[in-house]
Amino acid sequence: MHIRVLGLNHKTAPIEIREKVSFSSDKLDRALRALKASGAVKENLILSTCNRTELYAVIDDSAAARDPLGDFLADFHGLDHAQLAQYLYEKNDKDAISHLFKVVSSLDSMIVGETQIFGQVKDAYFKARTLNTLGKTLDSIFEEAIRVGKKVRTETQIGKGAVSTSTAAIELARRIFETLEGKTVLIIGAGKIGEMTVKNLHSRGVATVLVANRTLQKAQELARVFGGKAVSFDDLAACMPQADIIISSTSAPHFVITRAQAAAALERRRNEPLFFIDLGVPRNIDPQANSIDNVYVYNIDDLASVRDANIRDRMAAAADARAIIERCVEAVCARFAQQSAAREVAL
Amino acid sequence: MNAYYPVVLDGAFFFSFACGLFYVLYFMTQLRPWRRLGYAAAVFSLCLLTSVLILRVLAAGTFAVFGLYGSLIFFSWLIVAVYLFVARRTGDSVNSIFVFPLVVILLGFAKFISNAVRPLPPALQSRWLGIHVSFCFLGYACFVFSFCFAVLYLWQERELKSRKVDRYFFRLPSVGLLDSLGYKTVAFGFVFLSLGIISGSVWAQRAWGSFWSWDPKETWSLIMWLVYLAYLHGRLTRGWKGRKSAYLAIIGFIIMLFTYLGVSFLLPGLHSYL
Repeated sequence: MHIRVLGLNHKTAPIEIREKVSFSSDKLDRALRALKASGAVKENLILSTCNRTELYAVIDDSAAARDPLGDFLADFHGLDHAQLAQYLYEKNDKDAISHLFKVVSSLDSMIVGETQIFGQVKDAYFKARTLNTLGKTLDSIFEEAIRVGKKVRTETQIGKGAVSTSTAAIELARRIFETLEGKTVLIIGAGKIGEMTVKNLHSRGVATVLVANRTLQKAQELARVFGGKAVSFDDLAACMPQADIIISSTSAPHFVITRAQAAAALERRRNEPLFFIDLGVPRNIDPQANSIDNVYVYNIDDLASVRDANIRDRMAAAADARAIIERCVEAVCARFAQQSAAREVAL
Repeated sequence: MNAYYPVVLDGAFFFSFACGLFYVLYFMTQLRPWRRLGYAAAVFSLCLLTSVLILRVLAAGTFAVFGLYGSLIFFSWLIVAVYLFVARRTGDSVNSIFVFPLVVILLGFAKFISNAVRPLPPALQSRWLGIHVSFCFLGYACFVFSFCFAVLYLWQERELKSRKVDRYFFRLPSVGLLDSLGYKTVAFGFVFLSLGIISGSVWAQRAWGSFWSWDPKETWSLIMWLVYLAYLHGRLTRGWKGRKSAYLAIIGFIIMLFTYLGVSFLLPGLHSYL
């Protein structure tokens, strides 16, 4: 009896292949039942996300030499087996368990530490359990996998820290303001990262979005997206004191906001902290403004360094996670060995 | 004194120490079980300190917070109680890395001095004692926290201003929270200190016949009161926030320590403990 995983992911297969072998929700039901009905495997479970498709199964010794999972995957999607094979990986027994534990802990994900995969594994497990395609072995392995996923998340720093520039800006904002709820953000100029940041801030409860642009029409377009207000460039100084967070990404060749202007805005805010996110190159906000009490100025490089530091932390956390996984794999394997020994004695 | 008394006090000392240790471990590793242990240790410490106070009251037959020893125990108890109150209200525990070492120092100090409940001079035997001492130390306890929040504020503000992320950056609360907690604790502390001073002078009038006698402790309490008044005044009328407030809270705390311990040892007067 063997535990086997066969599948492909973002590292082994391009999107063109991944989309061909993915299982949508209704296909998944059919596939689970079909694989069970085929009699090729004793237990099975399918994990299908946008980055991976994996078939987990318990296979008889007699079938282990063949490739029932590869055949099934190719046949189900009407693909050529030989062609598909180059993208697939197959792992058995201890390696298969270890792989699953890494997947559920997001070590195998595109972004290490992301949280979605944990829920996806859980969903796949519940789905297979509802359709009754699991037996004792896979059931206990997946239960253990969910425990490992939780353990890694609570005992390591793997999910901490923003790993993109726009989320790094959000994290910084949350170290300045306790909550983003009810805050006002002003975005000057338009740019992809700037808009992403505003979008993230908006989804985290920022109350008011003000948009300033040289062309008022552009400002109005962006303002509409967030239910915000467009302001003309001439009114900038007047509406600056309202803003808690000011994002600037214009291509102006000189400072859009000088130190004196920042100081004036702060005074009108009665020293309520003011966070400048300067995404412009050349810089839009006088870096000297950072020396004013209660004013914080971060430029694009500063945000990148926050992001990179977080990525380094995640790498360190991933090493801790691997150690936890290794211990859990050993424990599970020891348990299986004990159980199968007991079974043989009973026979 | 009860035979269990030293054991209970040692227990309180031990749990306060363990609590500080757990919270420092939590701060360094960010593993949640440490924080849970820290919280449990804080609760145990509070229970044992409460027992210590009850045993002392039973032994003395009165609210025995008189003298340096009694006040150290009472002060420690108040700090732990306020800590748990603040931690429950805000869900934040970083201040514990400063608070519990302080409690350990206070209790350790108490172990070196006589724990006998000394009789109070007849002139001072009054229920005003409990009122006056309680308000003063409640104020002091609040100022301990405003000090912790001020130090944490300056630390996090430095992290933010340097624009370099190190591993402490995400472990410290936001400057916004630290600033507002610092303000709230100063505001509460100021009210309690004022009540302490007022109740003290009413009591002084009854016991000694004068509201105010420029005793060193009174003078230094007034200086402390003025510093915190400046803090609140600057904040409310000038919009002082952040660094300026934090510096004032630290100055206020140093004056508080001097008023509490320094004056007792260096400038004997009517309030002498020794």
